Amino acid sequence: MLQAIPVIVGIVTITFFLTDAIPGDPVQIMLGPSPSAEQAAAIRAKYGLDQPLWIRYINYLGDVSPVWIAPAASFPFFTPEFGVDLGRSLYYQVPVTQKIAERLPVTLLLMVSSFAFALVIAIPLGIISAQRRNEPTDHVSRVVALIGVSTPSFWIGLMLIMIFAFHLDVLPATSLVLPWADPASVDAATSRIDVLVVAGEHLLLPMVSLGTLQMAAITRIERSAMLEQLSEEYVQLARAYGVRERTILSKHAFRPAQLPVITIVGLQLTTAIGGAVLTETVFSINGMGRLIITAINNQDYPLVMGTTLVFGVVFVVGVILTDISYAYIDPRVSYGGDR
Amino acid sequence: MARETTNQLSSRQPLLEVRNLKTQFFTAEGDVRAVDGISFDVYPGEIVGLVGESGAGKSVAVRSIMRLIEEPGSIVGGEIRFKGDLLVGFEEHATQPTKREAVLSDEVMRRRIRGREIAIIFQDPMESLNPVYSVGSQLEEIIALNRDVDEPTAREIAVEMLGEVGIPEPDQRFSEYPHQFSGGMRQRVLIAMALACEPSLIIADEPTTALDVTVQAQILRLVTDIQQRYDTSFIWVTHDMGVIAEICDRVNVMYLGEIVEQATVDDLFHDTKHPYTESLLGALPRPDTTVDELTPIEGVMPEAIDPPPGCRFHPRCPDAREVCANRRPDIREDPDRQGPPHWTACFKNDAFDVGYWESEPLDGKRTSRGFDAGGGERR
Repeated sequence: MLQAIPVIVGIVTITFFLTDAIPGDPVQIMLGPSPSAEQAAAIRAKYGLDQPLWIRYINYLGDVSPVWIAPAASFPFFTPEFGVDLGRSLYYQVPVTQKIAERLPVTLLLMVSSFAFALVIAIPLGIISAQRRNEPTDHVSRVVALIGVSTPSFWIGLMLIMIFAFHLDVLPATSLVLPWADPASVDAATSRIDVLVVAGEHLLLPMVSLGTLQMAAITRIERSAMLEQLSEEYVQLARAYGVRERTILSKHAFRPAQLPVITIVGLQLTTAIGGAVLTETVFSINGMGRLIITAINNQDYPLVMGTTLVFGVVFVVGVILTDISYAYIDPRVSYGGDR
Repeated sequence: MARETTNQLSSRQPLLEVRNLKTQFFTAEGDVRAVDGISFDVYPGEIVGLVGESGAGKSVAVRSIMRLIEEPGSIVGGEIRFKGDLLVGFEEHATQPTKREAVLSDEVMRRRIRGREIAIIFQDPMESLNPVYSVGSQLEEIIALNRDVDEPTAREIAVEMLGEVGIPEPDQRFSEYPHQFSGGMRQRVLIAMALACEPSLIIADEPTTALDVTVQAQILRLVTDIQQRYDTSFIWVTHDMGVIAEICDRVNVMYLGEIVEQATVDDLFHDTKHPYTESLLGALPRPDTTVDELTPIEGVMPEAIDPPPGCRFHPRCPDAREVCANRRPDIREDPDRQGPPHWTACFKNDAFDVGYWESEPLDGKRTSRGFDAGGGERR
């Protein structure tokens, strides 16, 4: 768990210097072409951009870390500094935390639902595929999985919009509605239930488009992990003692087979973050993905840093959850124990 | 051990009859005849050994009894009868392997035979327990399934059996996981699992091969002790003649998918008939004889995919003559014999009249390595 701290510090460091290395000048973007020298200098001073890079880096680290010791006004003394401050967005002119608080739930909703979609389909499909190895069902599911992993999610998104939104006109193509939104703010919604229905309709296409890749990857892993388990000696032993084939599939082989699946789910988190940026663009969803693109286009240093940091934390949390599920499934894995 | 009762065995009904069993694996390289027409019986309360080199088809033979053969393998012929039920049965003289009507269905096989009547102990205790479930819960599940008891009772039986097989503090170890057990302890757990189902027959597929010698000795003592108390029959698969001598009543010697000699353990060791058995014994250090050097069996066992013509052992046999290369001996009983039956598949057996003694020794072969004389001295 404590290993997460150096990882996050590393993420902050690398993004800080990479952001600075982006060609272009945020002040120029803010002020438009040919600003006066005084104006530019004033802006620079206001956002601390006139200071050397390494001072800005130390200051940013201090702002971001929850606990920090800052040099006090009178030099030899230090004062503790608490709380996370991601700074103000240069482009939106609001605190970065406020912008992220607005956008993060949207992206989390999209990611969680697409993973749920992927798991619900992939796990049974992988098991059935393994059980009926080399039968028609298996071939179909393998082809589906292969197409799934080799199709880019934005293309799937565009195709879904074309088919379901334009030609069939059954589902909306844009503007995600949050299921916890106030009914008054949602068109055609008078009650909580209506909001949920509308939100579900809006979520369906982005969820499928982002989840297909996950689904396909997990199906393939589930199938091969189950196949490996089914040839294990202890599965043979269960068979030799008259355990039902269904119980073997759902218990004896299933549980140990989930270890590689969990690993893949953890790793797929990175692809899902990348996929979320594309999906949000395709479906015009105002989530973290679009926020990060706006930030980069406008050289909004604090916003780029803030969004990257949040994605970094999401990933680290995902990895920690993966490790915890490992220990939950496999008794041989334990943390802090002496075994 | 039930050695003293061996002579009366013929008058009793066998528990398990295997007749002309054939199991093949259909691979890309060709059909592997892993088990090629073996027959043997197991009587109630006896320990029957199945011995041979690695690859002789021992494990395939016993897994065929449980119908545990998986793709690309399958049983293609013969008959297995257990307590009157037909576990495997094929029509004789059919062009295609045809199952007989009376053969138990997969469902009945699973419910009535597997675990309940015939239990199996696998070779590798490290691989035979599921690493993600506790040892106790695995035992409990199998017991509840095969003994028609509820879970608390199954748990009681499980703890009792763990104590029975010599696991200290069975109450605590019940909830521990396989990785917390040593190899010997895991094998004890698997023996406890087999015994707890109270089967009539336990198939032990090289259960001590993966263990070191001291643990092996403990396990053998445990099994002989248990066998006497529960009167369970065993089929003991091994490549170790020492283990055979220690626990078995009767022995089947397998070579390349065939049984080449079948006798009581005393006859097999003291009145060895088949040159292959002689070679196996020659490769074994024995406390009752002094030899300067152990004699390994020359060459390696050929692949079952392309067995040699004639007697399958003839390319490695010190006594091979021309007739051995041309004709294949089936397994026969010595006609003039007194005492318990002793079967051999060798032309040296008097039951064959194929002119072995008149036939020329094969070129480039020594006629004998003195086994005849040696056999006499050992007696």
